[in-house]
Amino acid sequence: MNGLTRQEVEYRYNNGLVNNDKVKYTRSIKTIVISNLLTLFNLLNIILAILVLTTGSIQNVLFVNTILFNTIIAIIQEIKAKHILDKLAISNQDLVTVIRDGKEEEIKPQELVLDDIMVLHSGDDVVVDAVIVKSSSCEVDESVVTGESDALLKKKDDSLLSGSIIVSGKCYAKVTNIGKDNYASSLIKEASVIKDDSSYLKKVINQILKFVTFLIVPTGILLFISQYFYSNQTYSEAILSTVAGIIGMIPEGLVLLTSVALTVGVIKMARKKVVIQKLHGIEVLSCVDVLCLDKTGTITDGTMEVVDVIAIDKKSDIEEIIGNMLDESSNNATDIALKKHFKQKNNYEVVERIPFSSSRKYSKVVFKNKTYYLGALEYITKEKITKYDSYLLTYLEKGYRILTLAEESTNKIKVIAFIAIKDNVRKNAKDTLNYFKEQEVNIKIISGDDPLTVSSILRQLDFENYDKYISGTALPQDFEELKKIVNDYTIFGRVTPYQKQSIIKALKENSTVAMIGDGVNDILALKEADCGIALASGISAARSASDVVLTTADFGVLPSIVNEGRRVVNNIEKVASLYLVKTTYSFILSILSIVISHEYPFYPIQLSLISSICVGLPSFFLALEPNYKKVTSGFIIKVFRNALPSGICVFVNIFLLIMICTIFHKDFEKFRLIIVALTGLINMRLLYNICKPLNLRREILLCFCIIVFFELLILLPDLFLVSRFNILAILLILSLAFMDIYIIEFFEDIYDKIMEKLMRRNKWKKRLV
Amino acid sequence: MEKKTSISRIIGIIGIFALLIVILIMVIVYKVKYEDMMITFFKFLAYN
Repeated sequence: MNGLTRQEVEYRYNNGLVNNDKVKYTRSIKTIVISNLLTLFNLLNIILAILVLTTGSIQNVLFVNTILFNTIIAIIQEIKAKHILDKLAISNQDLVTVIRDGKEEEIKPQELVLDDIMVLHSGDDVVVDAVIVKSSSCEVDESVVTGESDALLKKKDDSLLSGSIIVSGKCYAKVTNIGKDNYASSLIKEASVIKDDSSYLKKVINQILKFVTFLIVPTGILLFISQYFYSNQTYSEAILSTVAGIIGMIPEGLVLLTSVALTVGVIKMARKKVVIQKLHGIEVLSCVDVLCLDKTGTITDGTMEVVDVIAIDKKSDIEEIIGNMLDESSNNATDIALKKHFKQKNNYEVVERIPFSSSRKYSKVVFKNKTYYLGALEYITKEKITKYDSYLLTYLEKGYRILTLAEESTNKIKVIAFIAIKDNVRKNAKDTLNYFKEQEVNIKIISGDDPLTVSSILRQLDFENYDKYISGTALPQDFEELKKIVNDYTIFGRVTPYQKQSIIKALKENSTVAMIGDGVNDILALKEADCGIALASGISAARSASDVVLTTADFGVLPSIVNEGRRVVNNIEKVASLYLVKTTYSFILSILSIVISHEYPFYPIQLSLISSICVGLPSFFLALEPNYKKVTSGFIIKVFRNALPSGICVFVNIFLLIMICTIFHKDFEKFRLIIVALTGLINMRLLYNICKPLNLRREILLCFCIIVFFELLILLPDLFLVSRFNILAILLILSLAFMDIYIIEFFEDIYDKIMEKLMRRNKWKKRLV
Repeated sequence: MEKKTSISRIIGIIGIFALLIVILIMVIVYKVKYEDMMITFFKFLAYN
């Protein structure tokens, strides 16, 4: 077989007949820049900046710097993550063997051209649709395509669909479809539609933003009308007040912080050789209750070892028979283990060879004089393995697989030996399982293997509930029944891909479920799970269906993914309230200004000072700190418990100061210093609460923020449009600050009581938790 | 929690008294009459 010539390949390249529909892990740089630049909030901020520029007050446009800084950081972080992920994706790519100019060569899948001849061995993925031109006992698993898990024997002229895998044998296949025309491409597209891959954090924050956006326009218009027409302000003053009210309401830093914290998480994971394909994966993992594993390739490392050969018929030369049965082209884990233990021989003349398949459960070799079988006893002789308990009990108890070697003579099949094979358990499997036990994450093993074998492996690892197993055949067909029993078992053995999917679906009813898998039989389950984790050693369709890919094929890295997710969610939860305090008081103050037609108490530059020193600076430090506590539900409730009381307290302060100012006929401009200082202090108090328990780093951060904030107020009063500190201002600041401590706690108590009542109502509980 | 609440309550009450004292000082320093204060206050409320 010669395959295509260089000229033919080149011709196809030039005419676009090349398989360039590669799976994109990341967005292009152009898309990253555009999507980060053209956001609703950037647009809003630019409009506000232009409005401020029309007043001629340059220093009040400083808030644009924050937006600019935010956008640049977001773009840099995402591009950095893109580079790391792209590198990983390339190094992780499987190569395809093709014949060109009569020679075999390995190329990347996207270099395949139409009519290329691929050489496919057992275990290879079919990356493009093709038709077989030559086959030697080639069996193909098309479960990803048809859902049928039985391997199919493919002959010459049979078609191969992309997404399927070669289970045994070898074949030569001619490429018939490329790029988007491939069956797998349409399947991957479909898989990505099934799951909403936006992050939960982003969803919650977007909900808050939607609510804020909804309020901004009417509040802004009313605020301007009240300032310009009823508060006797000039155009410039009215614009500055309105802009201050609006920018105060936008928690733009929170959006940035979430993106940056998630992106930093993705980068950190990529350094540990973990590809986060969908951002929500990192969050879901942080609150996972149930982790489902496929035994092969997760607890065990996928390699096997022959432990013992138990001869039943002492006269037979077992080494000789198995040596002759071994096929050079087959290279599944069992064959590799057998080849390691038995020397391959060619003394017997082979008449026919039927390779091992997962549905048949045995391989058969017909020699000139005799026929031998190698595989599962129940499928070869129809005998029960318990008949041979005296020979095998010790091996079965240790969780070893038992291969039966049988001889067929005159239509009678006779067992001549058993081969005990051990699945090699990963070194860190025990530690990883213990970690999840400590974190109260339930482990479920959903495997195509015999439940007894899985149970024995788990017993070796001192795993709790190793004896709670059930076979796929005993599982109820009815989904409602399945839901009832699914929590009673730890091991689900001999399950079909559809049963795996149903089990995950049933578990999802009451828990957040993650599934780790690598095989074709795991695809449906990976798609169904809240977070699908694929091993890079697995097939590409499984990787495409997953949220997270472990490129090292080592599930020992999972605790660090969970920790990373927890760090992101816990930290964002912590600092989100800092941003929402500003939103809360800006909104209430806008309403107050509209109702009492009083000038807005802040200028944009004053809000920029509070946002950058009391919120932005500390939140960036806190968001990147390690924080591995288990994530609990109720993000919104927890965030607003901090934000609302503090926001209301700012309003109470300002209202009191307006009253004092009015009663004593004082110039309100002189009170702005007290307002800014008190608002800064309330933010610092919240920061102090968030920082608890304090450590040296956090103490330094707190002190630094307080010192810088007051130094700027003292040293640059003209820049921040405030008066200088005097005795009256200091006395008012101190007395109100003391009073605020109790006011905040008072509103926190009220908030707790309201939430307690709302939580009793199911309708509200569902909305808030 | 109880202890923490009572401490913050004491601090809060100190703050309120301190604020009242500051207002009193302002009344003395700025020589504002009680009646004028009340009139301005109610005017403010009535106007809004």
